[in-house]
Amino acid sequence: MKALTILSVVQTGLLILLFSRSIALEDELATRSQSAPATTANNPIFSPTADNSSRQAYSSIDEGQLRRIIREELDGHASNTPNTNGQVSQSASYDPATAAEQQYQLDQVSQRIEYFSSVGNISDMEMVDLQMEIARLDDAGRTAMLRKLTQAMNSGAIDGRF
Amino acid sequence: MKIGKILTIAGLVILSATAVAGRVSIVPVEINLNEDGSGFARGNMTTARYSDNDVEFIGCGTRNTALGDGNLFQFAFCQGRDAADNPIFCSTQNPELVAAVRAIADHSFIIFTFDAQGECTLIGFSTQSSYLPRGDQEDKN
Repeated sequence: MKALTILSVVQTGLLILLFSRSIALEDELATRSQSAPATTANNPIFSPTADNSSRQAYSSIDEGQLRRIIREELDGHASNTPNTNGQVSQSASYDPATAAEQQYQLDQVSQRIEYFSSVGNISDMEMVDLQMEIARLDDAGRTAMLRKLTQAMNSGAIDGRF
Repeated sequence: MKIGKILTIAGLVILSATAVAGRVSIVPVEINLNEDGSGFARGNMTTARYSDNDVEFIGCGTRNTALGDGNLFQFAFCQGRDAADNPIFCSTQNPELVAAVRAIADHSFIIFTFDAQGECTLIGFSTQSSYLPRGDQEDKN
């Protein structure tokens, strides 16, 4: 009975201690959020010489900085959405393959044109397929391959028609 | 009665002859190349279609490919072949020239110029009555 009493007193003391500590932390957070926004020079996040733990760095982001970050993210999202007339700019929404993949596709199309040059002709359906492949390239690739195909046909290397 | 029928037929023949009157412009396909590969081509589609050879032709068109992401790849082309079987082609992604090609009508006179890379630099057409097929020109195919 005596042991239980002692344990309950200790438990109550710990609870009181935790409660007072949480109140103190809330006061501290409220104090930090009301303070002036920290400059990058004083911000522990950007200061390479600051000897701060990551927890301290994250706690240094004040409300003003958070608002600015959120605003920047929203502005970036708005530029990628269609405008009022429904058109989407190709540069904002078109996501071409990586540079290596684009180069691979470009090489494939170029080889196809060279193949038809070696054969000497291209059928109407083959022309349709080739134009679909050209369409999948990026802007520069389309221009280059369209010109290559046109020149091959003009030179007589490929007998066919658009 | 027999004389009447003859007179009727004669009258119809005379009337049908007047239906094909009017100016007719015959413009065969012509291809002119510069030393660097640039040049121009021109011709009347009707003249090419009813020429006495089976190689001559001239025309323009567009190709529009949906890219699946809301974008469209489109280009225009002009092509032709003269009576000597010499081919000519040009292509362009210029949106204004693409729009111009879409406006080409049947039986038009077409002229297009191109640079050394085969890029169309000028596409022009003209739709005149003189370019229309004559009444005696029928599609025998």
